[in-house]
Amino acid sequence: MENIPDIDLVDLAQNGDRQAFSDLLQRHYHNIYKLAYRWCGKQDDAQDVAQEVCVKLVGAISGYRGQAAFSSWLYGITLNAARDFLRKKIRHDKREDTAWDLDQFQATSGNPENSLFASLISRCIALLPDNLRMAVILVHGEGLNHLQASQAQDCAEGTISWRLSEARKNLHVCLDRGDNP
Amino acid sequence: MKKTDIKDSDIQNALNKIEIPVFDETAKQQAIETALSAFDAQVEKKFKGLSFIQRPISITANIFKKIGDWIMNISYPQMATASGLVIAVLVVALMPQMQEQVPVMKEESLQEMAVSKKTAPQAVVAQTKNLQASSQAYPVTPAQPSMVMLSPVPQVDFDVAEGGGGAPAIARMPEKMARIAQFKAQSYQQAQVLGEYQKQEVAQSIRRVQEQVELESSGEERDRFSKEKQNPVRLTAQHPVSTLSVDVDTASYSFVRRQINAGRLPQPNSVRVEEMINYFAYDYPTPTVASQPFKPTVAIYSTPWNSKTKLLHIGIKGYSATKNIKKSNLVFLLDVSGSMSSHDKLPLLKNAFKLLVDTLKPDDTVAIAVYAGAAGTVLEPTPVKERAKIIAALDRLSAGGSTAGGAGIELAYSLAQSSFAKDGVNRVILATDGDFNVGITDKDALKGMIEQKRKSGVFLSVLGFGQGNYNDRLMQELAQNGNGIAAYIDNLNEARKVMVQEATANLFPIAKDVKIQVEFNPGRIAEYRLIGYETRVLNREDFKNDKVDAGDIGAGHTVTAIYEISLVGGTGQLIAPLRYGKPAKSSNNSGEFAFLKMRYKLPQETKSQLMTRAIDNDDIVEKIEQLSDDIRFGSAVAAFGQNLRGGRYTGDFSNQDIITLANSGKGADPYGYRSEFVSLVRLADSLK
Repeated sequence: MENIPDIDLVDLAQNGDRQAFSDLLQRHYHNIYKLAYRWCGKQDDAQDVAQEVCVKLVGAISGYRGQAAFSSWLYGITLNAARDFLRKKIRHDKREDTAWDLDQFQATSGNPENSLFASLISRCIALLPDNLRMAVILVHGEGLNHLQASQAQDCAEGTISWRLSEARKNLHVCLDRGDNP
Repeated sequence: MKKTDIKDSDIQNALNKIEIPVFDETAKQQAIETALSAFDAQVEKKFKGLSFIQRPISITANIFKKIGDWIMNISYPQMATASGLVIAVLVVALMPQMQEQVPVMKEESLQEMAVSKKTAPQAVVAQTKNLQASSQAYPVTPAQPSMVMLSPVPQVDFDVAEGGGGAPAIARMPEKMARIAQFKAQSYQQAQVLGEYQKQEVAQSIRRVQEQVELESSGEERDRFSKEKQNPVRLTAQHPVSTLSVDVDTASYSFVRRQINAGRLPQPNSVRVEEMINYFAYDYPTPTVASQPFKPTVAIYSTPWNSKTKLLHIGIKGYSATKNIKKSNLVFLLDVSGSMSSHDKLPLLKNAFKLLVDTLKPDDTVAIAVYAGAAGTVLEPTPVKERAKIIAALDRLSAGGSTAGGAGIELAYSLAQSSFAKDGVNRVILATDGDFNVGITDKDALKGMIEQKRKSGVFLSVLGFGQGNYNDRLMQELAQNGNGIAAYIDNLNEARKVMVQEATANLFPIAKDVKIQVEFNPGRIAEYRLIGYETRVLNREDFKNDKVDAGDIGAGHTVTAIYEISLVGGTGQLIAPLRYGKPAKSSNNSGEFAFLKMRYKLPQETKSQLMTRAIDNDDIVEKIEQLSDDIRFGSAVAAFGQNLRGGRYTGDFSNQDIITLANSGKGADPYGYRSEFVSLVRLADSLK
């Protein structure tokens, strides 16, 4: 299974091969979960999103045509699912339960001042508008290049650059306003 | 708080500091199981039995793997009680499939036989019959009773029950509801083992499966084809001139066919109507001398899908230079990366090239180079009379390894140079599944190189294989730069069409940079719309500019362009007349509908020649019966292509109407391509 490229598994799965589809999910579950966690910040939520993405792929996989790497394409699906999941949840829970748990940022070692700065930035990233936050997570969190991120977000490459700089501006404002604990 | 300056590295640092907890392994397994249940339901619904035909081998392999898994999963003390039952159930469930395998194999060998005997229609018929046979086989599948037997077995412990997750794939229950019921039973069984408190969660996931099965089967698709809009309706008074480059590519039709045969309608943007029309050979009259490489055939007739408008049909057939065929010097550049290993790629490719070798003359030369994995020369230029050597070299090829790159394309061109046939045909034929890692990574540099080599007399054709990685646009662009065709090959029949029947056309260009310009007479034609050719429309001024590249026509190639026109005084206009507009001026040639101009260059020349023809009342064909079969059939294909693109202009012209029209224009159809088209429309109709 390890040496069959994604693209062939996708091809098989598109033609109804169950094993290939299962292998694909096995292979990518971790990445899906990781990205979902970056968006939701909670293990339970991330696992729910990951399950939703797995099920969603059943229908969506036929739409994959190989123009982008499968992983980039999957990043896009995952982020959209995570965003929708959180939106729905916020409507239900009226936001109480969904605020980020700051403790998780402080459980890091090293210079405490650096850690505090980092945790403040993380807090502000969580407050960014969806599109900007997606770009930040993909490029700075997952290390995608601008082209891959643009394929995941289904936009032009230049738009990613714009979103990143816009995000930086927003983060400045957020930090300077001090509207975080 | 002080003014802070944020760098990208700070953001990265902050994100990296977030510790992501490890996910729960059971959550992962549950997610995958849930998705697989939905997958089974979808396969059942979408493929309607086609999956057996498409992948008999992999499914059989799967079955045996599952049997192994099952037996492995039964713990030793339970062997005595459980295994006998489980194996018995499996055998029952497998039987109908085993039977189905038999006609599938037959069908494949039949197709190969059909190819060698040139009786393709049989293969098509066989395939359709087989389809019916396998879909009829479902009701008798004893899958349901076996499931019922399986679920309540008390001795089967959790492990076995989980192993049973493979059961749906084995038994392929015919109905979605049955599958959900089975999933339900299985999940409750799990719940008993896991404890009462999880029951609620399981119930929830069952609900989710039910919802998802409903929702996802309509699944949204993400669009990755280039999005050219359909050509709009033009007002003759404002845009009297329409200019286009000919297009002899046919890749779109093969791609559409593959999609429909796989049980789904193609995305509208993946359909190029002109490529569908041009897929078929039309018997337009040909010129008799090579100095005049082609001759236009024109007809104006009632639009099948709109009684208020007419179609202007322009057909061109290239001079067939079968007599003085020059020497060919071909280099096959083959992609042997790991992704080429599936049965519709490298194995098909080998057979396709063997077919091509058989059509060549003894003095022609063939060389083979490969890239990715094992890059290098497989066969130095070898005369075709040493056929065994060439075939052996093809047979030795195997796919494997990652894409190592290498100077594949340069190697191919240098091989072509080394055995350059003066005054002959020198061509590199690149075959790939979309992986263009041929040694030059920059797309534009690659195009530039191909263009430069084209000037030195070595042309390039691109053949696409397989699905998934398929890079349609780049293929087109490369072939266009290399004065060649881009074709998509999905089965041996198609390989024969491209490599054997059309080999002369595809290998011997008789005219290059062929452009068509139509000037419409606003006094007679109020509006016009070009059907298809969205990517081939040229600017008016490009027509006379010999620097502007356009498509080529090979020996015997046919090209068809169809305009839908509404006549002045008719009722078919879509654009309302202006209140203050000037009435159209009548000119000297007021009786004419339009004036057709064509420009082309002979293969070795750089200066274009002009050919013109007036289109007037003599070109009107009053009755549809008076039209040639070719024109009727071509208009049916045009209607189908437009319907696949959304049917914006085709009104309520249904697939049934298309079938009737196509049947009326089927003609002799010696290779069964037109019959296959009719079957395709029928299949597409059932997918709606």
